[in-house]
Amino acid sequence: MKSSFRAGSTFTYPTTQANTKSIAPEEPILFYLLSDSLNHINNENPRLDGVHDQPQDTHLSLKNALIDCIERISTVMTSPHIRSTVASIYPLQEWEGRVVGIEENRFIANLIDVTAREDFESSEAVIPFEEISRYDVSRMQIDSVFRWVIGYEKSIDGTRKRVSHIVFRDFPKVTKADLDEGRKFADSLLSAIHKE
Amino acid sequence: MTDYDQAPAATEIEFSLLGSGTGESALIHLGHGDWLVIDSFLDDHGTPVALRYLNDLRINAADSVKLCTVTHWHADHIRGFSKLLSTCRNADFCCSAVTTYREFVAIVTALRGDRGGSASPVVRELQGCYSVLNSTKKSPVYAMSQRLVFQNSTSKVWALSPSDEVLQRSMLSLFSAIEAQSRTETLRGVPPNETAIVLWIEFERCSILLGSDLERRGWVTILNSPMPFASRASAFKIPHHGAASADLPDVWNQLVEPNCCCAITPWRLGGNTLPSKTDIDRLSSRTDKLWITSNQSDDVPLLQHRNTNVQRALQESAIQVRPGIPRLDMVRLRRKLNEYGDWGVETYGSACRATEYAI
Repeated sequence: MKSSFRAGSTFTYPTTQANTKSIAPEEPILFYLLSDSLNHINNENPRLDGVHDQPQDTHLSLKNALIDCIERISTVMTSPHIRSTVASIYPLQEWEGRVVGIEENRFIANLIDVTAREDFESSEAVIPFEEISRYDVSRMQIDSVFRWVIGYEKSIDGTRKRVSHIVFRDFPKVTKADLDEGRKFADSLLSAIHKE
Repeated sequence: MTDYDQAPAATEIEFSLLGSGTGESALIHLGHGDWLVIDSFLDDHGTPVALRYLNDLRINAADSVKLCTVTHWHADHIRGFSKLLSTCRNADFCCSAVTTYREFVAIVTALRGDRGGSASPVVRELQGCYSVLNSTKKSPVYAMSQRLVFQNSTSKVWALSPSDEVLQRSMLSLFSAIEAQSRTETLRGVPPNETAIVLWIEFERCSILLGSDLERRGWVTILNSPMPFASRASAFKIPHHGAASADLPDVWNQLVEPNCCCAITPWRLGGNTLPSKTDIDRLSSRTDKLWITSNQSDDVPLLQHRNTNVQRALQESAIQVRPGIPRLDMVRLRRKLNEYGDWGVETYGSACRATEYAI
């Protein structure tokens, strides 16, 4: 499961066991669903797949994905089971990790201390695969990025427990539009530095 | 033995190699206050180590550094390079031509971090370098086989690689790189070690060979090319952390003096280490004068977190977190510009002779 959150802030996220139909109707969740659906559009129904031209069914794919998004949001907003799985977390420490080595039963990652507002990798972690989901193990590659949060999780019934969550992040594919923009910048840079 | 923070005299050559297992950076004093910086990594405060060292010597990097070279774009060689480049305003930027190929710039630009994640350190540094170039409008100095990339009254700096063939192959592989861009914000397609820049620094009475991470195939090309100089190197930065994949006997036979003064940086990732015991044995059979910049093996203590609750969570988990290594580990070689003789070798931090290296 993906989540979106800011450093140092309390956030709400879907638990790994949760059915998406029983998630609290709070703003971050809406953001999560929107970004998840947009990722879905990007990754599963690519409108601009790398250097290829737009597929003919672009509009249909986009429409279907948006309908799916709206349906999921409306389901959440009206769910009667909202409170059964809601959880909030107060983060004590957050790192952004980048996978730099993958071994048989563990991986190695460089960590940026997000809580300390560092912008460089200042430590290294050796993480056994048992600390992350099988799904994340299967799709992990060098340079995969994750968030690691250690904090307190508070359930709706008031139970408070210390948790450590590692959440891998998906990035949208590089699109033709991204590359075209990159080429524009390249042309401008190259004409500036090679003007003589 | 001089004090650590004593700058070299105007008539003194210095070759300092810094490396603590997570990065490599070299500084050369070319004489008369001109410095060359090759590659970069960060200290525990996020400062490029070369800037920290020059600052310790009370040398103004903005004026004194004349050439900043990034030999290739592996993370252990490029972290902090954009900051180095923006600080050293008087320096030219020396890089492989691949770095400013239109398609390469386009890919690096397309991998921007604001699409939902942060770009990799390599991409960030390249973007930072482009930003500096865009503001200074200065053309980079492109390193390629047998090209003179810098000279002053006492020295000439030659690039020995990459070759034309590698540059052409890199250009072709960029097209497949575009196809390979996926969900990670990383750069794929062109193996950086193949395009690594090897530098030859020629003085009147000695030469230095800086091997970067170039591997065997690249060295074969160098050895098969006519050399623009007749001397052999008396100091050698051993390529690719001493790995066997970068070691070629003919380099020792043709390019460096017998029993040449050699320095090496280690590389560590998790429990993996270069050079290995076998590498040290092999290299020690080639020279008695072999130093390594860092001797901190796996005994780096686990992170002690400032928050006791986080510390408890770390202790209860099977995850091991180790902090970055704060010390400035360095091998420093100095000699007079106009004298023959051996290099004076000094070690700082945990640097040591290879025979004392604990693997």
